[in-house]
Amino acid sequence: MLIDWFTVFAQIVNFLILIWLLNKFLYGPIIAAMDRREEKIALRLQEAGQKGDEAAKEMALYRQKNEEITKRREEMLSQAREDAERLRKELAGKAREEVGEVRKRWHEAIKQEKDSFLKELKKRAGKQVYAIARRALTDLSDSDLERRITSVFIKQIEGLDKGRRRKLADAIRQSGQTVIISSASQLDMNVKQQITRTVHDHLLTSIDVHYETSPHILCGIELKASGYVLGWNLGEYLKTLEEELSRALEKESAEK
Amino acid sequence: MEISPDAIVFWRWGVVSLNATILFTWIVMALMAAVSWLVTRKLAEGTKLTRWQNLLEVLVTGIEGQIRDVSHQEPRLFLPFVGTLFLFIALSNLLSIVPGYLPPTGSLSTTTSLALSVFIAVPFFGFSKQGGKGYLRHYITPSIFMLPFNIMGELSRTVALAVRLFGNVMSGTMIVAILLSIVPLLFPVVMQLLGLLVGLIQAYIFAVLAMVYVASATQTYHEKELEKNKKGDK
Repeated sequence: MLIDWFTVFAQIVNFLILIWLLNKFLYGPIIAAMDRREEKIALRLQEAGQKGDEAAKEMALYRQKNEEITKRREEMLSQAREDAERLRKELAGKAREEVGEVRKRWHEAIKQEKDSFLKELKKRAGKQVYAIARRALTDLSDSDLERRITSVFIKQIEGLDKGRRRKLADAIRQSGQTVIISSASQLDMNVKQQITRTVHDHLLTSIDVHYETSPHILCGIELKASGYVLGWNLGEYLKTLEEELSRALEKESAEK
Repeated sequence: MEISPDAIVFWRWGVVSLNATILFTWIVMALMAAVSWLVTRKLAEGTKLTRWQNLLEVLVTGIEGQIRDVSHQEPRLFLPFVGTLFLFIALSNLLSIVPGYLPPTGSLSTTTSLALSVFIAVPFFGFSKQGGKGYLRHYITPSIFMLPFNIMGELSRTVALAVRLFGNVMSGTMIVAILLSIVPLLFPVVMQLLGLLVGLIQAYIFAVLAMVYVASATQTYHEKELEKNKKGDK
């Protein structure tokens, strides 16, 4: 008989004991440990999920903040750009104005300088011309020239129209019936007589005629009576020449 | 040459005897309990495990997975019984590689006792899960006339369980013994390797069959119908 019933019984008991032993030392602890681990993992996963949610929230918050910052930065940049542009325009305008001012001042200065230079030039040229003419005329003046001048002066008196003649007569009356004949040099007696006669004939008969020499008169004769002046004077021509000369110079500089 | 380790008796007092089967069973039990105790003494609950704990966890979860696959039920209730069956038979067979060791599963007494345990466990789990009435109705389905056949079936499968395991393990040991006397070198090693494989497969078959019997007893009528419907859908 292959079956020993005592052994069968003993093995059943052994088997039951083994089940108890393994349940106590193997399945129980192992399953408990695994369950606890699973719980821990689940807990950790839950925590991780929560943290993930929090992180997502934080991320969203930061993204929003970032966007705000970017927007703000853009605004500030555009503002700064606008300010800079405005300032640039302002400064450029100011600079332009200043440049204009400086240019204007410069132009004025140049003009002044030019004016003064021209004035000086004019003065000198006039003086020079005058001096030359004076010298030339002084050199040239002699009795013949004097005579010619006298004849011109006499013709001038003779050729006065009525109105002027009356004005002159009034002026002579105001000055106490006196006229003064000025000349550059002492006149001949003949010439003086001729002039006196002409004055008496054409203006007023009962007036005194005084003769004097005047250094102001370059070459010629003048009749003065209470502010009224009649005569022929080379100085006048020279003055006219001086004026003409300065006008020509001014015109020339303006054209430049 | 002895066919069964039952015949090697160290001590006897009346019917009580201490034979090689019981002795080696104790050794296997002691080994299993000691290893389990040593490993589970300091269990890590974090993510870092010792190799031994990892091995045992793989074993336990593997057995749980098999039970779930076979029974389609929560494995926690059946784990101690089915797991112990598998581990005991597997270790008993695997240790046959040690010289001088005789596997207790090579004794018909051991296999009978294991088969008897299954024979008792089936109604035990059935009663606890379905209640007495629910379980007993199982014997008279589909009709009352099936009762003798169901009882015969219950008995015959118990005998088949016992004899299958005994025959396989005993034959493995016998073949190695015979071959050693004929071809002493190399070939017995190959056969021993084959014996290890067969021993492991037998442990698996025994445990799975036990689970199938237990599962058929614990599945309620409603669950069976659900399963039939599922198969019909497929």
